Order: sequence, then structure tokens, then C-alpha cells
Amino acid sequence: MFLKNIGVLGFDSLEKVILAALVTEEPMLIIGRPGTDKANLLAYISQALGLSFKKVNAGMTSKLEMTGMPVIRGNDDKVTFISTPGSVWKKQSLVFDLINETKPICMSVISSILFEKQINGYPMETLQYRWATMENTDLFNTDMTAFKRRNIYLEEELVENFAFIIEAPTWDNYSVEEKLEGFISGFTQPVKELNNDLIAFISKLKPLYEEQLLFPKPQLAAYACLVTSLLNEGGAYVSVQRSLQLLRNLIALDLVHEHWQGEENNDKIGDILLLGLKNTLIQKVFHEKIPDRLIQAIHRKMMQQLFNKEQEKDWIGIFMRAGLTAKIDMLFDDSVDKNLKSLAFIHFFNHSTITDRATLIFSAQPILQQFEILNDEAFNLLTKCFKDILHVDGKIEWLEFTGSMKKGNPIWFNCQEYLISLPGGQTSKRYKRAYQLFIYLMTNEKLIMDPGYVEMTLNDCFEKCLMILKYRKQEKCI
Amino acid sequence: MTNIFYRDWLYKSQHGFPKSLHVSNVYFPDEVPLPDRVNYYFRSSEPFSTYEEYLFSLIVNQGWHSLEEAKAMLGLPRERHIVVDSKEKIGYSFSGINEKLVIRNMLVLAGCGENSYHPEQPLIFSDKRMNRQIELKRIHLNEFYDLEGTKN
Repeated sequence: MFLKNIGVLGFDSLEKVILAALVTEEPMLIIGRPGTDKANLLAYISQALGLSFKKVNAGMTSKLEMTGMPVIRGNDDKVTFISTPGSVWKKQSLVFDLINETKPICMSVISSILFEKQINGYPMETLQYRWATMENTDLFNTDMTAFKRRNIYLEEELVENFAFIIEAPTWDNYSVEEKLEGFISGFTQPVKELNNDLIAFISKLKPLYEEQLLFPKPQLAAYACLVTSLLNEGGAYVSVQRSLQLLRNLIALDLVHEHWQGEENNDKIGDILLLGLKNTLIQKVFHEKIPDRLIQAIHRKMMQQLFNKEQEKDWIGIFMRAGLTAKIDMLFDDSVDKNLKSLAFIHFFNHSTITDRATLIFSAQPILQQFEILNDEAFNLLTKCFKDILHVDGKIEWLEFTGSMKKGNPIWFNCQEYLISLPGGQTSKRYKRAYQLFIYLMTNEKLIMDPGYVEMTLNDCFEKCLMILKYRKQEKCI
Repeated sequence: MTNIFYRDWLYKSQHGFPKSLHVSNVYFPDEVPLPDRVNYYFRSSEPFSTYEEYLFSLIVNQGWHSLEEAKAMLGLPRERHIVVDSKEKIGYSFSGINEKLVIRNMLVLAGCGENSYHPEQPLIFSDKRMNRQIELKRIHLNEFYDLEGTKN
């Protein structure tokens, strides 16, 4: 939304990360192949924000070039620097290009600017944004001698201090429109004007970010914590500091996501968390990338545990695995969508045994009808089966051998024996409904091998429905 | 022995004779006795082109202006019911047609799906729906689940 307006193309998928980095004012590392315009990204943004900007070529520059000449003035031995147009003292945003090529002698100055906003102990009060770029580490593994420049990996301790680590888009990441637009207007032609919308957006989120740092959302904290544990278990080392950094990044991203004003805010919270996670891990700097499938699997597991909305995906699976009384409970869960429940019920109807199906439907149909739990399609299936159970008219068939002493179907005989043993006799409701279920199953060629188990399940389901009915009536009264 | 009946008997004596027990039961705890049950059916004594036209002509005869008014005047069931085909069919004899009864039956039949009736369901005047003889049954929850502690 904002980046396109200031003439930056191709960064659509990373726009929220970039905005989050602008909100947090923490250093960001951009990795990319040569010619991806990574070094100019902050230049364009600085122009839009009205900030003074300086690009420092980390491999070529010297300490003096950055600081200006140090001189001692006055009697108190205070060192001041004679600033030049090239010095970085009063700049508000800095980019250190190709930081992996930095000479060791300069590294201490650059790292103190990046991570402490100071040079030789003198604070840089105006400095806000410190970003750095480096070449894609994929290139390092090719022919090292082909590169004239000194390609070295950054030290892990240094990389740990970057908040976000993003990869600059390549040609494939540009959309067709962006490519065409780029060729017409020249790629990434900056709009040399202040962008008041962007300024307002960033300045609105900064105080909110400071607030949330003190009291982060529990779900974000839990996500950062658990993801770190799982990644470490999965063999990808994530330090404690990195885990805390992940939380800070997620807070900023969450804020950007919440206050996003564009029309195309189709991302869900899950997408934002995954974006934050992928762009916080440092492994991609060292060419030991964590497999994407591992990150996806861990992310998905976390989302299932932390966010109910994501659980819906597996709600049907949980419903299918649950016992009959638990199924009734789940159907009366008001937080679940009616259509999802209906889908789960239809799935159960088509993929369950006739005994389970009949038991659930016989016990729960009236209450499901009363509270309109299911949609019309599922309700129609339910009622059709319920009608068949209530009105049985059929034959219980069996074969009988000549000379056999027993007369009658042995399985039906077992059922009758069990029915007689029920408390309350033949006039009790428990007897009547068990009898009804038994004859429904027997006339549908289902042999009831364990009538006790079937009847007790039916009774449990009726008890469960009775409890729900009582609870709902009480709720209505209240 | 070539007697086919003997061979059949021999086969059955080895594998068993088919037997069957006929069972029939209706489980409606609050079943209303037959004479008081309401059957919904439709038969016209006059020729007509479509069901809708015929229904509207009857409604106009009654001095009503719309379907909603007719529904309100006739006191149709206001809750969801289970639709059951009547087992005891009533002969289609109209002696002195009660037009209100015909309107009510037409409205209920058109509003009933295969298995359930809902007062807000759209009316569909199809042959399949109109040529039925049905009863509406409603399960009373207290009775079905024994909520008020009636014995067992």
C-alpha cells in the first residue's frame, strides 16, 4: 500500500515487515542477489519520511570517512569531530551496503552505530533507522574464486542483533503489473515527495508498540516461546535473545496488521505470525536454511494450539474421533459455526456404523431440532433417519436348522433377555427406547452381539441430552 | 433321488430354514389417538389449471388479500414438525367442501418437505408435494427426555 505509492516495487509480500521495522526502529538486514535494489530501499523510504539519509559502502569506507576528523578542543580534553558531508553524525537513516565485506578495523564502528547508535561512546541522537545489506549466501557456495570481493559470512553474534532479516525480491517476486509498470517508469523510481500517510501511520504505531512491549498479548508470547522450543527440538538453534526478538517483531507486525488501512488486507493472524517467524530466523544468513516444511509444520501446530479459529480446520477430525456423548457436547458448542457442525454431522452420518448413527440420532434429534443446531441439509438427513427409528415395521430374519431345540433368533433372544433385566420393567421409558432401537437395528440386518453395551450407550446419550436441555432451560430463565 | 423338493429339503436341513419375525412398533411418546389426529391431504372437486391459481381463487372467495393473511387467519402450525405419511388413509370424499380446510391443507402440504415442516419454508406447489396424505408430529422435549421426572 505505502511502498507502491513511494515507487518501491516487488516488496509487496514484505511490506508489513518493512513497516514493522520502521515502527520498531531496530536494525534490519536485507539479503539479496546483486542488483535487487536492496540498498536503495531505505533511501526511498527516507525521502518519503523526510529523513536525512546516507548510504555507506561498508567494504570501501574508512572509519574517518564515517566520523570525520577527530580534534581535541578546549581544556577538558573533549574530542569533537569535524564533520564532512560524508560523515554520518547528523543522519537520520543509514544503510550499510554489503556489510559482509566490512574490513575488521571498521566493524567495531559499524556495529556500534548499528546496534548502539553511538560512535566511540558519543551518542548519535538524531539517528533512527540503521539497515544493512549483504549478498545472498547462496552465491558463496559457487566458485569462491570467481568473486573478487571478499565474501565472508557475518559473525553470528553480529547477526543476532538484527531485528528482521529479509530477503530482497528477485525477478520472480515481481508481479506482471509491476514488471510492466517498472519498464514504463523505470524500475523503482522514487517519488521525491513526503508521504504524509506513511508518516502518520508510523508515528501512530510507535507509542502503541512501546505500550505493548510492556504487556505483550499472551498469544504472541506463547507463540514465540513455544516455537523457539520446537525449533530447538527440531535441530535449528534459536537463542533466548532471538526468541525475545521474535516476540518484539511479532508485536510490531501484529500492530501493523491491525492498523492496516489498505483494501487488500486478506492476511490472517496466522499468516502474519508465519511472516514474522520466517523473517526473524538468522539461519538464512549462514546458508544453513531451516527446511520450509519444518517451519510450516511447527507454525501449524502452534496455531492449532493457540488459536481456536485455526482449530476449525481439524474440528471435523476431532468430532469423528470423539465418543457419542462427546459428539453431542461438541454439537452444542456455540462457538463453532453451524455449517461446520452440519458438515461434520453429514461426514459422521456417512462414515459411521448403523448402531452409532442410530444411537446418536435417536437420542439427540428432538433437541437438535429445538435449538436449530444444524443447517437444512444435515437436518433433513437427521430427521429422515429419526423417522425410520421411530416407526419400525419390518422383519427380523434368520435361518433355523431342523432338529434344533431352540426356536427363535438367538441374537434377538439375547436382546429380549437383556431388556427384561432392565430396571423399571416394560413400562419404563428406558425399556421402551431400548426396545425401539433394538428392533430398528435388527430389522436393518444389524446383529446386536452386545445388547448391554448398545443400550448403555443409548442411555448415556439420553442422559447427556437431558443435561444439555436442563442447562439451556436454566440459561433461558436467567 | 432326483426329486427336486427332496433336494431342496436336504439343502435346507443342512443350511437352515429361513424364518422371520415380523415386528412393528411406533415410538411416539405423546401419540394422539387416531380419531383426533390431523391428516393433511388435498383433492379438489372442481377442475383447475395450477395449484397456485386454485389456492388464490379460494383465498379471494374468503375475502382475504394475501397468503400471509390466509396463514394468519387459519392458524397454521408455528413450530417445526416432523412429517410422517399417514398410514391410515382417508378416502377423498368431500361432501360440502370446507374451503378453509382446503386452503389450510394446501398451505401445509406445499410447505412440507419430505421429512420436516417449518413455518418459514418456501411454499412449493408440486404434484409430489400436493398428492400426499401426511401427519405432522412434534416431539415434546419434556416428555421425550423425561425432564419433569415422570416415572422412568
